[in-house]
This record gives sequence, structure tokens and C-alpha cells, in this order.
Amino acid sequence: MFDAIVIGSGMSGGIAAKELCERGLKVLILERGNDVDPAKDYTDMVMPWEYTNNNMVPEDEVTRDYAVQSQCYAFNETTKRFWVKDSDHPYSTPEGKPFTWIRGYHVGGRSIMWGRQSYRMSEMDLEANAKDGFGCDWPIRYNDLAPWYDHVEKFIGVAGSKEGLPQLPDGEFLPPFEMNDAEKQFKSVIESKFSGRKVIIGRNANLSVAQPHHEALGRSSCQNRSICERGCSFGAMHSSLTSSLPAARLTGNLTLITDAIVHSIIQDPKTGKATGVRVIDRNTKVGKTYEAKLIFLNASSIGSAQVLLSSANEANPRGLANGSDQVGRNLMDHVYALSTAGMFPGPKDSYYKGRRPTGIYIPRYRNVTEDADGYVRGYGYQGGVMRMGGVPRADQPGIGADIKQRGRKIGPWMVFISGFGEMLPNPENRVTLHATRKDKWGIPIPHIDCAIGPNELKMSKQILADGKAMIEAAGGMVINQAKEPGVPGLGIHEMGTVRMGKDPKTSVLNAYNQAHEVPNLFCTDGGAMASSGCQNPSLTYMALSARAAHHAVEFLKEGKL
Amino acid sequence: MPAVEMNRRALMAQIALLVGATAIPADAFAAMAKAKGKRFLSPAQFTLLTAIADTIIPATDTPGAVAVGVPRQFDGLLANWASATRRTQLAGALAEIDALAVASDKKGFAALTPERRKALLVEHDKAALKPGPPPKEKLNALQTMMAGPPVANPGFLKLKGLVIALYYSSEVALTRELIYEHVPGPFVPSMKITPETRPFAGVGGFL
Repeated sequence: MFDAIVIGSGMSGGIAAKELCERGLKVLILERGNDVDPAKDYTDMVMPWEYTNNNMVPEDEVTRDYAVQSQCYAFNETTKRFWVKDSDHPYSTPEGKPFTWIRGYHVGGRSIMWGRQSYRMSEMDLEANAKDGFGCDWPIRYNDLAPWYDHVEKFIGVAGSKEGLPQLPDGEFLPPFEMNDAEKQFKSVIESKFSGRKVIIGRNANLSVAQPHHEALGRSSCQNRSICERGCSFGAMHSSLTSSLPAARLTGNLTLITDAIVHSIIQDPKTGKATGVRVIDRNTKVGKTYEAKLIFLNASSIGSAQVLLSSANEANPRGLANGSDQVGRNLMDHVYALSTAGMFPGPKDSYYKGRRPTGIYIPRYRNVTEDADGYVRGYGYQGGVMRMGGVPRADQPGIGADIKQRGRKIGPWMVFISGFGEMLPNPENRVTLHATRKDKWGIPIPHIDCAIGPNELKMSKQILADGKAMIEAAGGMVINQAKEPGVPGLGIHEMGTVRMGKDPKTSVLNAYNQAHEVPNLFCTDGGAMASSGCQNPSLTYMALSARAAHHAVEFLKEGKL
Repeated sequence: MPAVEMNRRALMAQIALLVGATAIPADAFAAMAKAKGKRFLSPAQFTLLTAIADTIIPATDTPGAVAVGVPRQFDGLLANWASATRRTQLAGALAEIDALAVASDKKGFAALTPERRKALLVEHDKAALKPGPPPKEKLNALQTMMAGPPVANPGFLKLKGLVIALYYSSEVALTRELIYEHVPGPFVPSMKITPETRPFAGVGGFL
């Protein structure tokens, strides 16, 4: 018997386990995938001339096993081991309504391959549902989260600049990465021509300068390689493998079991409490049950909904903790891939050195300092200004020595900015269990029915229009622009399927991420999000995890669970 | 020492001698095709590929595509990476170039002088990269952006692209044509470009 079981060892599960362990609980993490040994499994020391197949995954293998995963920019031969085989982990979608579900099943989950952008949500974001009536009101406000953002930022290490923006609160930052000269020029023009808009350096969970408490865990400063998704042997980016799990292990309270696929959560019909977790061994397919006083569900938004729906019992035929019928509903991603790129008249004789692991960021201004064109909420942009050049493009005419000559020239500056827009919670965007299809382990596969709506479409138009206007205002010439947002899911920010709220009739979790109907069950992954903001959400999942762990232990001590 | 290994060493020595020359004489291509054991391409196709790779990226003051092993790696991609459709496309792109040489010069491409090879490929390249119809397969927004505009002869573009990509992932190209730093260390946000400055090579993807 453990004090707590944490389902999932990724971004949020890692932090939940660490916080529970540090408060003295004996914690069991159940991880559905295999173990990852940084010493053996990271590929960040592979040199370009050592690549297998020039770092391309064989085409037939992509078609057969990675049709979905290969759509992620970070998928290649050196990172292949970190993505699920779609062929082993099917899900279904309605005809003509695709959803791109990008995942990795192994210790650390997507915290190995994540984009590391780390932004706080603001009071404006947490009030949004209450103010415009979409979704249910968040049961917490910024002040509830702020100390936990501080706590998590300090622990994981977030580099960033203090800007004093109400829509994007500052945090406990490491020194920011610096902009190059062209980015400084872009910033200066945009900020002077568009009052209220800011261009700032991206806030990222890479150790610009490692602090003693990072070094104590074996982490060191970032080397500006930008191959983070292969696993970082310097421990310079935050992942469960380099930060949360080592910290949890130091307490002596952690047990981690891999290859344990959670089938369902067991509920005692008399007390209504969760008593344990049923798992199926990934390799042997043998079932087993683990028991604990407290359960944290951190299987990621779609996975957590799947577990709750699979945990239906006699008293709860619709699924565990699902009296509200909100489990699986309100699936959100960010409106994504709305990129605009152009040539930029940056300083002619200036260059930079190193592959900085973050870009520039334009915080939200629509419905903040500027009106929006007929929609609620808003968007931010990620981007960068960089020199072209290096490997010569094949689609420019030229054969022979002049290809080499072209390669040796320092290229022109190119600017790109890509919008990330808030997606509204819509109960019809929904994860259910497939009526008949099961996976290899006999678990019903998720059926994902999700599409962007009219608010997102209007927003998308303005994201593209503003992108073009800003690049042109900065003196650039647009050469390429997306025409439509990416398929939902490709933003890899799934959220909302186990939402927090004040009212048990319309939400699954309370203000402490505790299931309204199952007091010793907590969910602190993306599923908990009552709205999506437009900020990259991992930092918020981690803050919610640390906060919920704190309160769960208090409740346990007080005998309330 | 096994015969294959001896041949390989002899070939390496031969290549070392050729490094610095502006192009490889025609009879050397056939010798290279024979030099190694199992290949995906037939000896004739490998000879043709070697001549094409040598023409696209010849030795200059730095070694060219052949010296860094591009044909061998390209053959490896055909064996281990390419789908059946891709193999057909690339084999077609090779054959097409040979057919051009036969039509204009009555000889296979590999048998031409370096000057004729270059003249033929320059024209072929120009025609191949003219705007073409959109690709049949549906690409997502990011893929569309990365792929660039469609061209008249996607098979040739792929062939040329792979030769360039393989060359520029070699240690020679990354350290002598460009600068590659696997561990750059601190980010330097501003440095002055001088006539000697070379571009830093990226690691693929965005950077």
C-alpha cells in the first residue's frame, strides 16, 4: 500500500510526484511506457555525419507506424524512440474531422520533446469564462496560482525578461536569452509603430545560468545546441528525467513502475473513494492492482479522460467522477501553425553565434490594448529573425562550384512569426470511448471528435492579417504565409477534458484539482484546464500540480480524504 | 585481408589523390562502382549517380560529393530509407539525365567530359526548377511552408536535394565549407561579419 499513486511520469506527473514525495508520502508512479536511461537513450551526442539515413525515418516506416507523429516538427530518426507508434496506439476520429494526437509513451513523456516555452496565465485569462460566458468559471484566480508559478519556475529554471505586462505576468526568471541585432531592430520598429504591442524574448525552461539547486540535481547551463528533443545530457532543459524525478528520488520515497498501462481506477462503492488502480503489463498483458490512499491522475488530457471513462462502475455508469457528464468534453488545443515569413532588412554586417533554444514572443494584445475583429479572447506570436545561409537550397538553380559558393555566403535575414490562439471550451469537442474498437491491451480506444469553431476562424484571419501587417511595417517582405490553421491537436496543447470549476454539475474538479465526486482523486494535467488562454500551457499544469499536491497532503493530514 | 577491404583501401587512396582536382575523370566512376560489395543500384546506375553527384558538387578547394562518400550514402538511402515510389522516382531522375546525354552526345552521362556534364546539368536544373503543378499529396501547413513552391520536375529536385543534404552533413563540408559547432556554448547575440565569416551550419528543423 502506497500513500499516493501518480498515473503518468510526464510534465505534470513528475512535479506532482516530486511534491508529494517531498512532503513525506510514499509515492508510486505508474508509467505506461518504457524506462529511459539518459546515459544510453539520449541521442544528443550524435554528430550530423553519424546520422542513420541522414536523420530521416524510412518512408515506409513513417507511413506504417508514424503517420500522425511524423507531422510534428521534432520527429526524426534521432528522436524516433520518443514518439509512439501510431500503429500500436490507435484512436479514431469522425470522417473528415481529423485530430492530430502527438504523444510519447516512456518515462518523462512529452517533457523530453516539449518546446519549453513557459508562460504564466493572467487574471484576464482566469476571469475570461466568467466574463464572456464561454465555458465554466475557473474556481481559482491568479493570486491562487502565483506562488506556485514562483515555486515551479524556480525549480525548473525559466529564462525570461521582466516586462510588467498584466496579460503575461512576470515570474522568477533566470537571466533572459538575448535577442540578436535583427530581432532588436524588429522589436524597436513594432513597438514604435503599434502602440501597446511588445516584442520580447521567449520565456523558456532552459537554464541560461544554472543555479546551485539545479547543479545539485546534476544539471548545468544551456549550451545553445537546440537539439533539446533528443534529450539533453547537460540537463539544461527541464524534463521529468532531469529535474522532477531525480528530486523525487532524493527523498527516498519514490517507486517508479514502468510498462504499467492503467486500465481504470477502482472505487469503493460504500465510501465513494478511490482505492487503487488496475494496470495491465505492457509486455505480458497480465493485470495487477495497486492500492493507495491518494491518486493523482496525470495521463495527459485525452489519456486521463480515457481512464475516467474506462473506470465506469455500477453506481457511475458514465465513468468515474463524471456526474456532470463533462469528462471528455471541452477538448481544446491552441489555434496553431498560422505562420507568416518574410525577408527582413536587418543590419547588414551583423551575425550571431549559437543555436539559441528560444525565439521571440509577441504577447497578446487583442482584447487587451486593441479591439478584436468580432471574436473573444486573443493570441500571441512566437517567432524569430534569423540569417539564412548554411546548407544551400536545392530549389535555387545552380550546379557545381557555385552551389558551394552560395553555401559560404552569409544569407539574408528572415523573419517569421506564428500565432498561437486561444480556443474556446466547447462541450461538443469531445473524447469518448469507441463503442467496439479496443487496443492491444483490451482497452477501448479514444474517439476524438474535435474541430475549431467560428470564434477561432475569425481569430485565425486576424492572426494572419496582423502577421503580414507587422512584417511589412517592420520593412520586411512577406514571402510565405499559411492559409489556414493546422489540424486540431498539432499545437500539442490538448486541454480541458477533466475541467476545474465551482459547480459539480458543470465541472469535474474543484479549486484544488480534486474530483468533486471522489475526494481522494486529483487530476492536474491539461485535462484540468477550464480555458486555454493563448499561452503555452505546461507551466500552468506544473503550477496546478504543485499546488494540488500541497493541498492534498494537507487534506490527508487533516483526515479529510 | 579480405579482397573487398583491400579494394576499399585502394579506392580510398585513389580518392585521396583525386581530392583537389576539379572533377573526376570519366573512367574512375566505373572503378568506383566495382569497388564495393553489395549495393542497391546496379554498377551502371551507381556509375551514373557518381558522375551526377560529382557534377552537382565537385571538388574545388575542398573535397566534393564523391570524396565524402555521397554516392555510397545515397545508395544506402535507396536501400534503407526510400519507399518503392521514391526509388522509382529517383531511379527515373537518374535515367532521365543519362537519356539526355545519349540524345545530345550519343554517350552515357558518365562518359562525358566534366565540362559537358556540367553544361547538360545546368540546363536540366533550370528546366526542372521552373514552377510546376501542386503536389498530389496533401501537406499540412508547416510541411507546405518547409517544402517551398512546387517545381516542374520534383524527381530531379529530390535527387539534387539529397546530394546536397548528404554532402552538407559530412564532416568535411560542415567543418570546411561551413562552421559546425556541436556544443556552441554561450549564445553570442551580435558579432561583426568580416569577409572571412562563414555561415554556421544548423542541425535541421528550424535552426
